[in-house]
Amino acid sequence: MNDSQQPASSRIEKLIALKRYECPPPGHAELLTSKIISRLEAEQMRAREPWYRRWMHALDLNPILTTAYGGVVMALMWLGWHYGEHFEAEAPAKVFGNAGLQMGSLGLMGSMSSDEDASSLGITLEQAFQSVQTSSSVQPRVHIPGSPVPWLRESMAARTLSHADFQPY
Amino acid sequence: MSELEDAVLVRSSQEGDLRAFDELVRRYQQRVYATVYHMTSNHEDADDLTQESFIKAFKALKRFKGDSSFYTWVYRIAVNRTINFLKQRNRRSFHMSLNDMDMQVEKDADLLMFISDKTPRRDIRLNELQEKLNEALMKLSETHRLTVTLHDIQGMSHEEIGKIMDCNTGTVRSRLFYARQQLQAYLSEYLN
Repeated sequence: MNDSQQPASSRIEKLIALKRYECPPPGHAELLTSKIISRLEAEQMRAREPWYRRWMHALDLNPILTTAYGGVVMALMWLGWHYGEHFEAEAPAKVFGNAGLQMGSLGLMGSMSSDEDASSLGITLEQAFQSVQTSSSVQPRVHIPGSPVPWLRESMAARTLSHADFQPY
Repeated sequence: MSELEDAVLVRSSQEGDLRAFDELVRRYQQRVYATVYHMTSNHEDADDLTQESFIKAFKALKRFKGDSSFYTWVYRIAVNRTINFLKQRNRRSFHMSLNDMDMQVEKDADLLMFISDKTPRRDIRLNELQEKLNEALMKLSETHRLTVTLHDIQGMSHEEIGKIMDCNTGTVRSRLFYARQQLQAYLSEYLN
């Protein structure tokens, strides 16, 4: 049968079969085998390493993991900064006893519905305020500029004060 | 070691023997590489995917029960990995990185049928024919391209292809028929 008389399906098979002649560069087979085996050897070596080295290596190799880790660290830092600022803003209210006053007031408000009720208890709001301000729980607020974290500054201030209380005169 | 059966080498590899696995890689890497290359039309991608497939096969070897041959099993890993890779690659631009044709092709009688003076397309060159062939194959869906690659290029039987692609021989035949029809349409200028 002449070539042109062959059925199209047979001709297309022969045409596709020409792709068999596409060959990788010389030496590719050896190189590919050695690449596979050396990667496996490296992985076996790595499996014997301590966990923190494996972790560091995973960060080196995986940019997604590295980015995710960096993102988590940044998020934690931002949260720390954000809540630190938040506590600092609220700090005067707590330290100077406003919170105590509010609680005292709430206690009063819970039991009375109007001024008449308050007078019936025999105290005014001004008296309640003064009693809270002069109580022993009131602490002065001292800034320690050395500490970058607001709540740590306050705790250090409290620690400094209590330490000073025990100094002999 | 070359005369050892696959099953013996697989058992040693399952115990972590890299020398045994090295022998398995030597036996099948060229065929796996060729399949992946014909699927991707890119030498670098085929190289990477072949490496990854064998590395994944070694890691998963403990789960290999021996229900099929090691050859079919590793082929299935490579094929699945390649199809997943192609789905991702289709979303971005891609360029062909074709291997050179073996010089033996010039002695092939079938080649003369397509580029000889007798045909109307006598002006086409070998490289152009290679590019057109690859372009036409890349227009097929992944499953049709795989069927054509395994049957018409790798010379596998319908049964073997069915095992690799996890389908029956009827499906393989119908995919092959459809894929050839498509290719005939894409390459009609070389066939008339």
